[in-house]
Amino acid sequence: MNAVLDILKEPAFWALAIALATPLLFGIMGTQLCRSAGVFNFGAEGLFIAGAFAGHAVAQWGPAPWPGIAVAAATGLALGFFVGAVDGPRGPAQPLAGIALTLLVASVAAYAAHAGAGAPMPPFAPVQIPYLANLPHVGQVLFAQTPLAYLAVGCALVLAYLLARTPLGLAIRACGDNPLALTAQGRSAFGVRNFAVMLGSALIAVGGACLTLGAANPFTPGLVHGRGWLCLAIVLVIGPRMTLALVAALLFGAIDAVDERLVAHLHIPAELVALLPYVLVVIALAAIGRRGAPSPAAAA
Amino acid sequence: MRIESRAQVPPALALAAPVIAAIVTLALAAVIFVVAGTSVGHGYKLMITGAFGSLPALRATSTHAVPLVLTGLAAALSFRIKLWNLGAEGQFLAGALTALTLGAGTIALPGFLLLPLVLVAGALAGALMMLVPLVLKVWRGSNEAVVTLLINVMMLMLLPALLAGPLAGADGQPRALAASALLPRFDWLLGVHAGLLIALVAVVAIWVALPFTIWGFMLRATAGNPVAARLAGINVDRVTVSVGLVSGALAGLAGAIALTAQAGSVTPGFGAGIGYAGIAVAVLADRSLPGILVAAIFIAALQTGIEASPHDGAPTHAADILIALVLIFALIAGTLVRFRLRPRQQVPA
Repeated sequence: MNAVLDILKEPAFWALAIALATPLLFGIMGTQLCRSAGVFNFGAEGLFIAGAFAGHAVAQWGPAPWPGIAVAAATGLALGFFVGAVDGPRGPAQPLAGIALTLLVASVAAYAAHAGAGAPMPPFAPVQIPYLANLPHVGQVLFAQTPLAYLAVGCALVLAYLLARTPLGLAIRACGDNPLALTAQGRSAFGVRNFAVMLGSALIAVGGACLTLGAANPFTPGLVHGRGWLCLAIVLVIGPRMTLALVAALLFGAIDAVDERLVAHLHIPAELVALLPYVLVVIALAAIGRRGAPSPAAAA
Repeated sequence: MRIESRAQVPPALALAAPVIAAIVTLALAAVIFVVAGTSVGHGYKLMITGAFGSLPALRATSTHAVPLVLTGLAAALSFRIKLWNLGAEGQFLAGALTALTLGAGTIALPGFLLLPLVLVAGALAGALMMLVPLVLKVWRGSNEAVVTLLINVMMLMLLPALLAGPLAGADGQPRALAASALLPRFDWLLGVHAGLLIALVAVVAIWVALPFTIWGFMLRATAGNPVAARLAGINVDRVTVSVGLVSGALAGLAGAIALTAQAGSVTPGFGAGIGYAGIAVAVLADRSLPGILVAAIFIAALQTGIEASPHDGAPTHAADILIALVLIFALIAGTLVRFRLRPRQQVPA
């Protein structure tokens, strides 16, 4: 047991946990943004795959990985338009539209990945923030991450401010709670919803790009492996609060990090540790109960 | 012109929507042929002969269609009451694995007893997979779509461990099915296995049960208006649970049939996509139970046809693209027919 605690005290463990939490944080906040506007984005898994594939494909050509992030975000915007546009009381049910999008993206990405083999590509290198990275204990954990991790936290702060403190954020939340009130104000509920869903989808797709560009993973059809569904379930549990998104992302990132480093000491099969996030979130769903149910507008 | 929603969709238009979706999907198959570098006409010719052109082709298409009918039925039934069972993929695997456990020579029974036992156990395993999502939905109001999707992921993660561990034989390989647990094949059925008959019986049974049994009545009442059904004294939660269990059982049965249809074992990619393709079958069939048969044959024909035609990359991926496309187009067409264009009228002052 002491060996386990020793690893948990290592800065390297928590640095890895934050790196693994980054894609989840993008995914969770993107899903939260969509849900604030009344759309429970069942396409999250597909958006993750789209971002992971687009980011990988572009980074193979370009010298810097940033164009990969940009193209992943643009792909997310485009796919998000589909999710937002078909949503509505007369449209297909949200789970069906989302699963359709996911199946299409997954099959096209698998087809393309099969046709063109992945070449090595330049990943993001960790950036040591001057002075802060030299702090004892926390320096190498918090301030020696890839730019993606800083970007994720920055996005979370901006998004929290946008939703809570700006007229646009109010309109987005109104769109989720009562679209008719928005229409009565003279604003287009369709427009506001589509804006929020496209932006949220872009964030989820960037989360996918983190999977390939953050760790130099080549794209494989099984790379995303349910992270999108996991984000949906996490958002059902934590609701729209951005602080909880940070906590949840870090928790599941830490479980992912356990997966890779502690299995040897814990004397439990690696498969069970890999299952832990999913089991945990289902238990949390059971515990949270009806508070986790979608808002009335989202259920319509 | 202005867009307005229709109070009711005309039956002809409702029928046309999935047909148009299928035609558009087939048209887009041309892109796959172009990418593979063949002429479009040649590609279509190979695709059609590959799906329907010969006796072996017809047999392959019907064999592919059998599990699709069952997973399609599973999806259609639960979608009817807006119970989003997206977990057919995991239920299918659970059914197949249970069938393998019982059918791999662990129980010494003659075939006419072993086979029904294996199939029923597979169906029960599928139903069991729905238990957690259903209990969470009814008791805690959780979103069953998310929970079933999470269970799919967990099943896929467990599969290699199960095949290497509890389901492995003495040689470390996954155990193979005993010959006595194989579904018989019939010459008068084009050489297709008896699972085809089971799938047909399942469709007919549901088709009869919906209008003629109390369960079917309660299901239709819940589908129409859950609040009214509750006020009329129908226990909507109980209907939800029963429909969910039947839906899971159908998907589990599909897995058991897919396994016992051929000699061999469960492999890591076994039946991948059949559960999700069932969603496409259900959406294409659009509330019609005979439509499920047509839709399942169409999707099976896409699979066998693309295998026979030129495609760049693995055939399953090419078929998966077409299946996803037909699902998307069916959803879009089904939405568009609920609206109409009407010339803008002069509003009297």
